[in-house]
Amino acid sequence: MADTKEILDRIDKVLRDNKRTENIYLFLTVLLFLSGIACIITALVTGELVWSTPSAVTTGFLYFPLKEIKVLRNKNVALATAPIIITQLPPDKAAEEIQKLLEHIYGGENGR
Amino acid sequence: MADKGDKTKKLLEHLLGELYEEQSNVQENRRESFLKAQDGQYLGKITTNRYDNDSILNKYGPFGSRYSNTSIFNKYSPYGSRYGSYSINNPHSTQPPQLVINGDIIAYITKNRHLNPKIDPDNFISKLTTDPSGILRLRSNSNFESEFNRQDSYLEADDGTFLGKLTSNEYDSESVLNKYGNFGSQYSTTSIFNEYGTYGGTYSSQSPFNEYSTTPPKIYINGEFWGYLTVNEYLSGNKLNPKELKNWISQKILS
Repeated sequence: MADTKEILDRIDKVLRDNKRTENIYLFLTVLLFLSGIACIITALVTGELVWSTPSAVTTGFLYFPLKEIKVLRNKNVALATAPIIITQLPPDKAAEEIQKLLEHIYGGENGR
Repeated sequence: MADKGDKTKKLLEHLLGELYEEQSNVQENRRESFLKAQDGQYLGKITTNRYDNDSILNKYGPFGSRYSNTSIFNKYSPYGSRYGSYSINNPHSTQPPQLVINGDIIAYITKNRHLNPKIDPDNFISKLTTDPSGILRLRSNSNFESEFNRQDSYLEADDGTFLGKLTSNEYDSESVLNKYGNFGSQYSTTSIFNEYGTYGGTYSSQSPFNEYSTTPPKIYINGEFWGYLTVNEYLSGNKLNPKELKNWISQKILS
């Protein structure tokens, strides 16, 4: 088993990668939101209600990045918990807890 | 994000693998019952205690987890993958794991049809899950192949539990039509006619009487899967309404 420092370094690296991905998702979310607002303003200014349709669509699309951000945050919580589990628990219990974390984030296997 | 490039998953699986590797370096007891790979790797204990850390049935242990490199349930491990040289699931493996009961080698656990004596991995896992004591009772000279590879007609629950023979002989103790037997009585826990049981209740997911169940009991005819016993009309494939079971058995002449 790798030592604690090595584990922490590996976890930090993945957390940094996750943070970058999260920022991209946040940027895209804001972009979608702003384009929706822009459409609504256009609809109000021009008086043509048809302009409000794209904003409804873009609002619907917000679901996907927000979902991904939520998943990413769950992953980050799992990563932050992992070192404590590994260093504080005996190996058999630590393995059990890590597997439960994996199953919580990625779903369990059916049938067993 | 696709799972394939998911660094979080890869890292957690890697850490888990290391933890399991640490645990799997155990010495087997000569008189124990266990599974052993032909490269010498211990693959877990056969025990009725599924919470034993060394048990093959402990899904959080080094020998039962689908993430452990020393588990037959890991589809990517050398012992569980389809192509692993020492794997139970490789139909071409000439060195599959061996089942050892009380220190005696009993059989190979393998998909390779040409090796003998052998036990099919699916049957082995099913038996291990439902009746581990049955495996522990095996002896090298016992006729275990027929016990594992049933050729008769029977019902099996989704969790692998045997639910009785499909035979018109109502006096057969294993018949689903024997009202006083384990599989036909309305009071038995392994009977589909126990309306309060796991396998007979209207709301149980493994019951043939649950009209929404997607995991009803399976029907095997002469050892071959035929279809499902269910009142769920929308389930695809062959299906039989449990209310018609008796007539169906007579018509099929499942004596």
